[in-house]
Amino acid sequence: MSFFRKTSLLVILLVITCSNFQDNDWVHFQKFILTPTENPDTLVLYFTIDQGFHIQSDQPEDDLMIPTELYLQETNTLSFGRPIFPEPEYFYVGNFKTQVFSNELIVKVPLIHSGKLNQNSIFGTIKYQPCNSQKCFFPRELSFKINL
Amino acid sequence: MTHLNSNWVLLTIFLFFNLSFTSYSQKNANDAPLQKAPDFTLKDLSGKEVSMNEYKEKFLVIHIATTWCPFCNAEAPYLQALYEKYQSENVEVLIIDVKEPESLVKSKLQNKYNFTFPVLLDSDGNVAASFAPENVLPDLARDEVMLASNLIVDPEGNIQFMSLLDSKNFDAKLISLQKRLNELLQEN
Repeated sequence: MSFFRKTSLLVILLVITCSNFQDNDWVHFQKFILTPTENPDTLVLYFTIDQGFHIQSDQPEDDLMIPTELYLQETNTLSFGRPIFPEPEYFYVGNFKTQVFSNELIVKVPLIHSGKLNQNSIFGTIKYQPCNSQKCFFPRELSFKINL
Repeated sequence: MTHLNSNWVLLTIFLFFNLSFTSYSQKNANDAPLQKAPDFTLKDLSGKEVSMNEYKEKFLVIHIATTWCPFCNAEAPYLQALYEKYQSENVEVLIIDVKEPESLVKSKLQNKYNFTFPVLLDSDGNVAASFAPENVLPDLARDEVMLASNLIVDPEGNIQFMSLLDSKNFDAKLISLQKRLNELLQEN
């Protein structure tokens, strides 16, 4: 076996090893986009939800469910409009129907600022209640920082 | 040690580690030994204390729930139906609600499903945590492991069924639990 092949095999095994360990946060902040590029009026946030998991939508039909909520820290010069979440999908638990997000979650947030956006960073938190196909977990919070 | 040999040693270590981990996880998921149900005393929604001792010499079905858990809500009507079906066969049912206030549990769970068996309040999650098998989902908080789980405790206080370990898929109609309960009732 060549050195390259052996090294590749070791890397694959290392990845498999790492994937055996799970973390407890199943939502991750990936990236953001300001749109349009000049004088942006919308912040687009990209989150990923681990495969096999889903989170409740922002406006669940059943008031028992805990909705996903996004908070962004406002400043004197920057505030935010109501976040626009994507259309949720239905998840059926027996006869019980819930509206959930899975895989990628893209949230658009209107920016409210006068003049030029002159801020270095924005701090945010997303609160969510995750489930997989067998059970649910306590609500969690993911804090993130956007470097503009 | 030659370069070639060191690579093989590393390979062997990785393979051994991964196989051990997989086998360990599977063992804990499927072959957990029969364990005694922990003792507990909790208040029900009327403020009355209910303890595990009261269920000695009975079969007890326990469901560990929260109001916001869709799996728990999906099971709720079937749990009431199960209670009505087996009530005359020395079977009791309990819900242990985890870390929620009484008013919420009353309005969102009891008033919605009209359970005729006790709903107990585990306000700090300690009782739910005490049911969690060691080493199952070790990266989760112990009370979280048990959410939406169903258990059967036999008249001797042994846990004879735990959906966390016995069911591979979600089972709203409690089919696996009823199958095990029927077996236990026949054996008895």
